[in-house]
Amino acid sequence: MKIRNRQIAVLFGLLATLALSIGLGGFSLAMLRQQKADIASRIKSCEVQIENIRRLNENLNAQIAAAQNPQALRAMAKTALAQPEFGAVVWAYEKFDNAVVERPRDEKVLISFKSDRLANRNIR
Amino acid sequence: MKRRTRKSASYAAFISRGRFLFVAAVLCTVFAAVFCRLYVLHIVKEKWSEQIISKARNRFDKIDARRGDIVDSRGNLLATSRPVIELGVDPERMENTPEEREALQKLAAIIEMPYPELLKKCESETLVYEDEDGTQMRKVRWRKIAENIDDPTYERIRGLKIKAIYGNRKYVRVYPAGALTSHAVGFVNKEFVAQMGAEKKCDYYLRGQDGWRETERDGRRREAAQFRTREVEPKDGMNVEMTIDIIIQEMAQRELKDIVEKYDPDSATIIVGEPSTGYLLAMASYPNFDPNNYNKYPQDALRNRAICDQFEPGSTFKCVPVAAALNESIVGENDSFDCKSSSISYKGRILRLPKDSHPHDHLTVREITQKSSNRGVAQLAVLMGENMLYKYARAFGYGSKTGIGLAGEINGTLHEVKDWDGLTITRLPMGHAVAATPIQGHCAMRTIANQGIYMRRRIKKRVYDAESSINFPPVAERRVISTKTATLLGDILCDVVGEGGTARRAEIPGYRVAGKTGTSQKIINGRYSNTKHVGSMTGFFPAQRPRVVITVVVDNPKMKGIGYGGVVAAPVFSRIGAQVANYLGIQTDGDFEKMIAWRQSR
Repeated sequence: MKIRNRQIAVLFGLLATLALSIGLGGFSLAMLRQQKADIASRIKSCEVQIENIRRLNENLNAQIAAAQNPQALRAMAKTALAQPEFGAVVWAYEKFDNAVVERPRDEKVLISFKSDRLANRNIR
Repeated sequence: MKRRTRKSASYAAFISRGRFLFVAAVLCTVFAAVFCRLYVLHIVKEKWSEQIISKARNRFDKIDARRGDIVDSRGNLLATSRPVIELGVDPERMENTPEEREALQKLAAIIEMPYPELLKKCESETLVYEDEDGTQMRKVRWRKIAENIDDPTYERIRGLKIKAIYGNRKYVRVYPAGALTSHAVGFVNKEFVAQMGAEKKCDYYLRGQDGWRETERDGRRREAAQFRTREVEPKDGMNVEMTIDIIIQEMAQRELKDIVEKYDPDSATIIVGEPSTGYLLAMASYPNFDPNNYNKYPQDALRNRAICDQFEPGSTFKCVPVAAALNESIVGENDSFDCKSSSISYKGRILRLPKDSHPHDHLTVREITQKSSNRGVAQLAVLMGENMLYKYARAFGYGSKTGIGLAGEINGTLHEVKDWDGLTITRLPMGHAVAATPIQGHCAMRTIANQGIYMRRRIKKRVYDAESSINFPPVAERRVISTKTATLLGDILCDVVGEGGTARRAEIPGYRVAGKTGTSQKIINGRYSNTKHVGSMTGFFPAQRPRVVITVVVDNPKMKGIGYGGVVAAPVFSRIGAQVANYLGIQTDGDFEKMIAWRQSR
């Protein structure tokens, strides 16, 4: 009787060892695989971030260069900027020789430069 | 208690000794089999196992090197590589659900492709092909739908969640300056093979060195980055800095556009260079093309006329015999020649002299140059002889490549003396019987501007990356004429642009300009045409301290009368010169003299 019980115990022991080793093996393999995948994905995500920044930089460089192309700037200047219609620019220094620059209320009219003493001086 | 005893008795009856031994043997066999297999795999067939595993897990990745950039002399990008996405479909993964069809319609709108065309691309297809094992069949698992998709667009496409559609990243070459520098920069084709211009000539520096890595992949074929065993980093291509200045290039292109609108020529070229360094500041040709869409242009437009087309230089070549005669002290600037006579005796033969466009009487060497007398230079050539004329023409760079550093340059034509016929000695000095590229004419004038020293042509200034830099400094190749002769010739050439000269329209306010115009008849069906001409002008300024050399060539301008270089090309020279002087801040002659006087007074 005792022998038979021992035999059952041995059998169960063997089965349990087998199941345990398979289970533990499988579990550790799964854990290891997961760990590997986690590390790989962490490395990959860092690399992707670096790559994205590099790509963005390259794209922006190309876009800036295209926008700074003299032909593009000229085209933009033609459309976006107001074109002056007068032939020459006159620089008037305010408070020069006690003269004043008079700005009329109507902004469209040209400003005038007035001095009492200028009329009496030979200015070139 | 009784029940338990009965139960254990039944177990005991079931597990007989034989059964127990059998089960135990099976379990032991399983263990033994596992251990045996492990022993075989790890000890006996170790190498084989490693091979199988490495085949299944190892991965060999090529890492593409990024092609270097091309920049102008001020660092403006002329060519760069930009990452884009190539969109494709795996037809085998299409689900053909109503939701997917709806998403496909949205995709068609995003990539601006007709919906039926997109549907057709998504259809499954089986390829039948022959190989060494006989007829094979293979399903198509990738078909390109669209290319050059940018990141924001790709994010929108991914938002549609069509499993079968995905993108691959790749680099494309972009040319931010577009057609502005097309011929000088050149282009690479879709396979990144350099085709022309600096792209081809500097390909060795630009292409870089691809890298590679040996790594592992997991069961889902994803890379396990931590198991990278060997890795060689890619070496990105070096950047090339050209001597071209994009602002001056734009000035040249704008003037070319004006020429085209006004004269509708077959082709036209403008070259701007620096005499002291040999650097080219601008090189523009018409017709040109946009390197971003090079395949939409005819082959003819891809040719760089400045280095690939040759024409008879006409009167611009007269600088060569005049320079040679002065340099060899055969004549002085005030020696007089009879330009009325129509023939001359040479080596016991009477040679007919070419006609002048206007009849002249006696002219000095200075006047011969100023009035561009064909008879006058022919007599100069006869005085110096064939060999000397040929030697100087060679020395000025005619008949050989300038070595500018761009692919496709031709030699031009300058026959050796033994191949000359009886009339060549009188025809060559006026720019006939010789064919030159615009760059060769430019180089000859640049030699005069640079005190008689022929500089090596340069279009690349520097090749560099983050760690190193290779400079291409100016190199003097040879002295062609003495400094004294060059200065005297420069002074004589100023008369050409002055009162009574052929290039009065080339004047630039504030500067003394030295230059020479040329008008040559084109050869049509073996004869000189009376209606088709090539008008050219080449010169430099300020004449006393040359900073800029400009060459303008207009091939077959359509206009009333003859397209003289002085009419067609000289005004363009003047306009570009004025703009370049303003841009480079070149002192006017008046300011320069004032500065010298101020320095001397201190």
